[in-house]
Amino acid sequence: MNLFSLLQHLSEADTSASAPRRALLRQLGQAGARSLAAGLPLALGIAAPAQARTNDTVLDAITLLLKLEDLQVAFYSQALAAPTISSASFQADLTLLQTQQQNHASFLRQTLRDAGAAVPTLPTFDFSGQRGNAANPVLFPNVFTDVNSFLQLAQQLEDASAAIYKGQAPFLAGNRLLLDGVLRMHSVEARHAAHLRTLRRTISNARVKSWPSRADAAVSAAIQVPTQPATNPASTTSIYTAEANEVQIMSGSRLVPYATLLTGDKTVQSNALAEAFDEALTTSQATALLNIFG
Amino acid sequence: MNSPSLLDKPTDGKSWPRRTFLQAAGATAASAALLLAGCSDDPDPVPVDTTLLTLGANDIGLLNYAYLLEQLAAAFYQKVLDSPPADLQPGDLAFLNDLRDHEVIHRETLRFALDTQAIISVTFDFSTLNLSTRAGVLAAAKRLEDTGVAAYNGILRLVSDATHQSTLLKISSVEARHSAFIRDVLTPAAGTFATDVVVNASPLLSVAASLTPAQVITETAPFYLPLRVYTDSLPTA
Repeated sequence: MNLFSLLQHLSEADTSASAPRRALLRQLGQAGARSLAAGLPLALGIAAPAQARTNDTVLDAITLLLKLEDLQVAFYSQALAAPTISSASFQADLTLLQTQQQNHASFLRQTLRDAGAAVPTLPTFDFSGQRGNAANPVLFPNVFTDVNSFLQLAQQLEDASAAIYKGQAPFLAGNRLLLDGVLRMHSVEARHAAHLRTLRRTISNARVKSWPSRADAAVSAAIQVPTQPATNPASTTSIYTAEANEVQIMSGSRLVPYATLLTGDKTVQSNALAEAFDEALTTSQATALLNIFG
Repeated sequence: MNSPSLLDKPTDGKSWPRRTFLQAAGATAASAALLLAGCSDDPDPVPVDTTLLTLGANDIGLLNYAYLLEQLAAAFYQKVLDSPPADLQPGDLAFLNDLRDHEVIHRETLRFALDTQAIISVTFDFSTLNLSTRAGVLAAAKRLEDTGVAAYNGILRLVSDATHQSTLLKISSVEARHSAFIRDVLTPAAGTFATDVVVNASPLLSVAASLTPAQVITETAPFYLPLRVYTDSLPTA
């Protein structure tokens, strides 16, 4: 039996995205175009009150993802310019991460340009959480002067990045080529997130798995996003609150009965169900997160 | 239950019972038409391909494709846990159990989603893998996880139902973490979590490698033997 090597396949020309760039964007410029996946809130395992639904366009989604990628580029760039972080053993990883985030940002920015859409001004990102104002509290101390603090924030940003991509994917449903590109960028973000968690284990001796788990030790400086569904009065919560979800609902509003399915030889560990699925962050949560830093 | 062989012709001259015919073929409802074509009143049934496993079309086909791959992954980790290599290091069994649990959950979720349209539970053949050493297990795990991630990336955009797509996306995210994790275990000093599995495909930059169902099935064909998986009915665009 001749076993083809996976790398041989990977090196072959990828024909799935060979269409001209403009073909990717045909819906981007449509004024008022709506692309809402009605099933999304249920699939996330959260209730769907009216305020959790948004009417984001493809343009909104790409613009938000661009800001997310610009934030990550800035994060790694500032890290590589900081003596303490850039001299750490994982410097090569930071360079790789920065390059890939830059490539993602470049693609998203070019997507907007090609569609004739407004390309937002690049913000100045402040990863202390002070938003450039010394009067504001420092939410994330010593991010670029202490390796452990850096890695904590890096892990959260990469985990959040994967979750934000998931939250935006349904708004691209009408454009398969663009969706393909965005989802394949998402897949890379998930790899980044897993690796940052490996670094936290090996460098910081943190008790975390490579996937968000209820067994993870809590971070000392947590990114807080609006609670979903929204509460009255409004409240914030960790980006990991959604990851503890154990409810999965299939098409047709069919709740997966894990308690009866995962028995006998299908019994799993108590944290496995929440670990097995990476959850999404909503547009509201994503916007709030991005606004913390820029 | 003994599966009747199609070579065991009834001796009373009557045609092979339709229900038993289908049991012997292990067919899904979707491929029943192929088999029923050979099931007539003629006392000598036309031999049909009993080793063909069809996945179906549209979202059902894509879900069955994912279900097959999750069956493969769960069976792999279960086999390793049933006979772990003697040279595993501390902590290895813990993560192998985690990986196995995730795949079982993925598999059961997709089976539930597919309901009566799910393909059979496949018995896999891992004899081409060396699972007697830690290095062999990790190499196989890396290959399977990498393939699984590329498989999901090859089909996610094709799923029509938003709920199905969301579920597969959430699963695929964890599989990407698995792949990065195994690579980190294999090469802790040099980061390989996002190297050869991240590609440029103009105009896309630094995106996950993607394989078509045909490519994935070719890559994993030895594991399904004697079955052959039919992917031509799946959506491609």
